[in-house]
Amino acid sequence: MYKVREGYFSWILHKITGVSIVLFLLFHIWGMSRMSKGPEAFDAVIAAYKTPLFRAGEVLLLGAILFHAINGVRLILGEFTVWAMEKNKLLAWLAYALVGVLFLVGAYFMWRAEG
Amino acid sequence: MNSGGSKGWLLQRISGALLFLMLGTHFYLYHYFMGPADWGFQSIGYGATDLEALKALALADPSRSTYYALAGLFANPVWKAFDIILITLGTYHGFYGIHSIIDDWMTHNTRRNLSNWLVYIIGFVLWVIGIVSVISFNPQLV
Ligand code: HEM
Repeated sequence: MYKVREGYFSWILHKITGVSIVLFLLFHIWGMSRMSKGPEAFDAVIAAYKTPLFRAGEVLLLGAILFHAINGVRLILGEFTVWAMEKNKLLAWLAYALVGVLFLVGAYFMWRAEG
Repeated sequence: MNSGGSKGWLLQRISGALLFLMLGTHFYLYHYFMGPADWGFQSIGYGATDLEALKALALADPSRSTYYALAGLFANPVWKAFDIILITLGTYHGFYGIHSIIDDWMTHNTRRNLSNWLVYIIGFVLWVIGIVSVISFNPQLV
């Protein structure tokens, strides 16, 4: 199974991004539980999300999710289809390219949107 | 690897694939429909009977428009159910993943078992908090 992976880089980054997203999920659900308590509580949480620190965090999160999601689909394809297993190296580079492009475009729009 | 056996392995792939589709929808809804596209969500918030009232409230107080947009979305039980499924898949996949990492890297039996239980408990508590938040969301519209 380890053969399917395009090197150590993807393998370790999949774990790092997975754990990072779980940490975000802890934070996100905690935020949801506060936001569900009426309009004032909702506004307070949203106001915090609009500070530069949170917005920078969101850009990092975008990168983590893009990598984990796209690399995850590549892993699944490689494990279930012969075609993707044979084309694994190409698919890995395609995945990196896709993650890179989507990240740059997404980060641009996120940062440009007014706080 | 994967002490959870092949069933856990398979479920990790299935939940990953479902998360891929559902997260796409989630971002679209919460970062596009409720943001720049403003009241575009009306077309999907069909469960709400008071969408016009919500829209009037949002127009009267634009600083609250995101809140009313969420209220409109959650007036439809389908979108509440969607979020409940998303939280369930996300916590399952994420905490099962942490459990896999623990099993791969921790060799000491007692420590590994304790860590796994801790991870399960945190995951379960988080799941409950998430589900309760969605179910109990009650737009206090004056
Ligand atoms: C967006 C769609 C997603 C896909 C396609 C996906 C796919 C996968 C796959 C295939 C694995 C197994 C990797 C392996 O066995 O080596 C995995 C592991 C993992 N995922 Fe996801 N995942 C997604 C979203 C998420 C989310 C939202 C979280 C966090 C809540 C998450 C957290 C983890 C963790 C912690 C692992 C364990 C790391 C590892 O063993 O490599 N994933 N994911």
